[in-house]
Amino acid sequence: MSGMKSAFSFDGIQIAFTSGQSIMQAVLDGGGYIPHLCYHPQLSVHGSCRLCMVKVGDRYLSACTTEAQNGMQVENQISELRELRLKLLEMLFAEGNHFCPSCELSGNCQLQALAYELGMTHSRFPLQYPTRKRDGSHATVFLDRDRCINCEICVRASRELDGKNVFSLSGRGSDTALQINSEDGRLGSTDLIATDSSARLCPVGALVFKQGNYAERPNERLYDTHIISETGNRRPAVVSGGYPELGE
Amino acid sequence: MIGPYQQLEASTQRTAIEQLFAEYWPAGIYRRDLLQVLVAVQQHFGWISSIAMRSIQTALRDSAISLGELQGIVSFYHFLQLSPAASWQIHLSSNITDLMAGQRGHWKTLTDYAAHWPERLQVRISSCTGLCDQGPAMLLNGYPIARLNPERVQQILQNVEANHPLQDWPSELFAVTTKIVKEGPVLQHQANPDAVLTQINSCGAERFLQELELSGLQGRGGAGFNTADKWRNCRAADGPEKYVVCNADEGEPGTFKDRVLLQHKLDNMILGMRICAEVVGAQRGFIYLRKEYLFLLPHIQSALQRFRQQGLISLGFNVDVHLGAGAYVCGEETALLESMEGKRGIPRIRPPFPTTYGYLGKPTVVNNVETFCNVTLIADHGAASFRQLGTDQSPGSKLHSVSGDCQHPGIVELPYGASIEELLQLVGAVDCQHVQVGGPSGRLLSRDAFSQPLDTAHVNSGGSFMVFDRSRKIPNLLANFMHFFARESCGFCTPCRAGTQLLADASRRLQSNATDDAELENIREICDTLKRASHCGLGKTAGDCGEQAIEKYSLHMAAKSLAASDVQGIAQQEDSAGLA
Amino acid sequence: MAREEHKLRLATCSLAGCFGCHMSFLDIDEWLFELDKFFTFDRSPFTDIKTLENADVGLIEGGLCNQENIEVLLDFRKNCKLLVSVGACAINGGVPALRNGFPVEDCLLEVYQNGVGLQGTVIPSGKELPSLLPKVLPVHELVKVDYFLPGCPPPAEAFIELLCAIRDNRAPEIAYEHRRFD
Ligand SMILES: Cc1cc2nc3c(=O)[nH]c(=O)nc-3n(C[C@H](O)[C@H](O)[C@H](O)COP(=O)(O)O)c2cc1C
Ligand code: SF4
Ligand code: SF4
Ligand code: SF4
Ligand code: FES
Repeated sequence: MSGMKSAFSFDGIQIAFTSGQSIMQAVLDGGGYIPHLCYHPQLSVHGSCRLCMVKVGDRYLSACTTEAQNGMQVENQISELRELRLKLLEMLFAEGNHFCPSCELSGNCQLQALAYELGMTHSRFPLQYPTRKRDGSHATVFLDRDRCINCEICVRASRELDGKNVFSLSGRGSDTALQINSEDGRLGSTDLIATDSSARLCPVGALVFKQGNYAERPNERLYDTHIISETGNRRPAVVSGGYPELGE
Repeated sequence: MIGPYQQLEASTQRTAIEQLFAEYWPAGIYRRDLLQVLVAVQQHFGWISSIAMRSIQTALRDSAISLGELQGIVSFYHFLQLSPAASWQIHLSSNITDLMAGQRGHWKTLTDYAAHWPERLQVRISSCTGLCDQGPAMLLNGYPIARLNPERVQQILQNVEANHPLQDWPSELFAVTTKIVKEGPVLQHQANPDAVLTQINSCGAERFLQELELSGLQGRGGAGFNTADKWRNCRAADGPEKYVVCNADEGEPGTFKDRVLLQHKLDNMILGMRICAEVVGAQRGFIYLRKEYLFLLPHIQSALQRFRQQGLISLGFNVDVHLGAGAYVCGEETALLESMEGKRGIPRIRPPFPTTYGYLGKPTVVNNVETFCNVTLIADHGAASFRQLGTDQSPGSKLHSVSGDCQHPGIVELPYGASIEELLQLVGAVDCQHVQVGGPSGRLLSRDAFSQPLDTAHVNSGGSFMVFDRSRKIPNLLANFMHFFARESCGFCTPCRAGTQLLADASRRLQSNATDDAELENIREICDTLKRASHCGLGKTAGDCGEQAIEKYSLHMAAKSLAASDVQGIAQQEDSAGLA
Repeated sequence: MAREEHKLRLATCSLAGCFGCHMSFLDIDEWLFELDKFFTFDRSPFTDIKTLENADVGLIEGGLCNQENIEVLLDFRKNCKLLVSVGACAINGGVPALRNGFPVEDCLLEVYQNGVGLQGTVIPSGKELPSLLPKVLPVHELVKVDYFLPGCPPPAEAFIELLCAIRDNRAPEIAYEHRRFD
């Protein structure tokens, strides 16, 4: 590190940063936490889930897309933002089909973990019950679009970490859906393999491994006992086919 | 003009597609041409077949693209379709002004016909075709037909039935004429290109930029950003390769002033782009033309040809047309740039702004059609003359596209600062209760606000001005606007993707009076989330729009509950809420 | 249990649910004695009391899948001061809502006529059978719900906290480890 020391205030705590870093990067590097679903430190920035909204003065900004500035006053843990994030979470639940009791990722899911932490009990918005296609054509990985939040983590991971191009989005608006870039549109016809990062970074239970699920007992899974703002966004190896966890 | 679309055999189709590519892209197809290629295929064949997609895959020069990705692009744009073409394709405009003029009846007639003969006729909705002064309107195989009435719809169906080639249809059907209710300096201005350019060359770019600064010109596309500041940023940006883009996407429902400028003041606009190129040091310009205005393409191309022949835009600066494919969000400047690069029109993260990171990552100026016309006006007559009209903060004049309940729908050019009332008088709006200024993204104003001035500091507008009399109901406006936003949301960010859909659903219940207080509160919360958390202007303004309408609706409900105690009062309040 | 006037009247029912939430309620074990100090049962499958009047609290398990569910729910809303949505099915439709992606007719055909091993069976019909709703809906999309107890089922500790909160006239605060969507 070179140059002048820069810092900003984050809920009253001074956070150091290097120029060009986003608020999110600086806070995570400093051991703090801002709720996020579409951000991953190893991938390019997306800015779509909007859970990382923070307040700077009277402006609402997404922490993952906003560069840190010296002397900035960033508010994060305030009731107004908790309420805003709660509504965003409820929207994510309302627009998909999230039946946690039967989901492979339940207990290890970042969407669910954020809902637990923020004390969400239900969605105040009418549930949409969309009809979306599932894809079980791949030998090891299963795609359940009902739970997909269009964060494009798999899209980016495939391109940026795996050097492949397995996923993309199609449609627009509420019809936006994860699409497979193969000739027949099926996951099984792609060059995706189990060790690919794109198969192991989905923050929710949309891309899951077919084998080894439900191995942990309820109460023993990561977010059953750990609060996400303390543990961070993680996808334990046990739900990723046993391959080592890809760190944040 | 192409129609009826034919069902082609695979080999015939392949040959025809190859011919098309050879004609328009003799040097081969590159990734950034993708959208243009898809639009051309759509226009020529009526759909994007898998044969077409394969041909594109093989023809791509610079990078491979998977079928999935291609489909991802096609499925983003309303006017591109993956299902086989019917012989005739209708897109019925569905802005609130179209509905007010009887669009629903025509929808029924046309869809009834299509239901019996789907291979012959396909009928879909389009958001706003930019013909609100002469609605209801539609596009037939991409070409506009305005002033629909039962007779004209029958005439269209007869021609569909007979399957007459499109060029043999009565040309009168396709006439697009707009009344200029009031002219101002922009519409009156006749520039002499040679003289203007000579003058710019002699005084130099920096000197003109100072003049532009003095003029205080603000962008006319809606946001009202200072044009000189934008140009200075781009001029200061590093790099030899820069671009000038004219935003002719005009997607805001109720706006058609850019169409009129393209029809009548095209030379001034191109000159404005030319001047911009001079100032910022750009070598290429693009006009991003919404697909709805395809009928203007020959006119634009012949003007560009003329300019080239006269050497006005060949010397180190050429201009091309980029067609949109049906996506309101592509009017947002960074989504527009993505679309120009042949991708899905998802707004970029800003900063960096286009002036430093624009088309293909190069410094780019994006300005509205009307902005460029004003630039030429300033170049010709100077900043002082320009400032004679308008207010200190908003100098000059503004074009308003007026539609709805008034005697003279059309274009009104007024100095900034003129009041809503003045405008209403000019267009003969006698019984006006509400106006929606700036389209669904703008503001819904009632009688008590009609004395307010139209300028960037008070009631700002990109140029849409819709008039509603006392027969119109707020829930119907809200429903129309909310369906518009849900249809046009790009789907990238959570609040807008989910929220606009939730609002559209809720507005349907509001229309049938099935909404209780809890749901009204829910609607407010969705609007609030949209306003605070959306990634781009579309989601933010969708929330704003919903909030305003709900406020007026609540006024109506409050008035209703007063009914028992104060009969007089309710009549008045209902009037102002437009629900009587 | 005899009706006792000084106690809070607690009613429960299961709509489109599996009675799992009711079973989990019983997992409160010896806390039943505590419960008995402050609550008495109104309509509930625990007591087999079939009628409902003026209850203080109504616990609803399960979502709405047919016409009868709607009737029962409206009756509960009318007769309970506080209404609590209990469990995943009441809150988001749960397992029964997995049918929401299919037309009702297709579901009936699959179950009664086209499914494996079925021959010559008919889709039951008759006035006494409640008609199915086109979609299974959460309870709070029809009536106002005061508290939500997520979980599939909610753990016994969550029930205890809910009842304590109601007894003490405050909003329930479910501890982190008892917040469950599954
Ligand atoms: C959703 C959305 C749609 C827009 N549509 C248009 C449009 O159709 N035409 C336009 O000129 N500007 C449109 N804009 C504004 C542009 O982003 C940009 O500000 C404008 O083109 C800049 O030109 P100006 O400074 O000359 O106004 C839109 C903005 C948003 C957020
Ligand atoms: S993805 Fe997460 S929130 Fe969705 S069903 Fe699975 S566990 Fe629940
Ligand atoms: S599958 Fe998972 S990683 Fe991919 S877009 Fe959906 S939620 Fe994100
Ligand atoms: S607000 Fe979000 S979803 Fe809506 S158009 Fe903008 S980027 Fe797309
Ligand atoms: S983490 Fe910032 S928008 Fe998703």
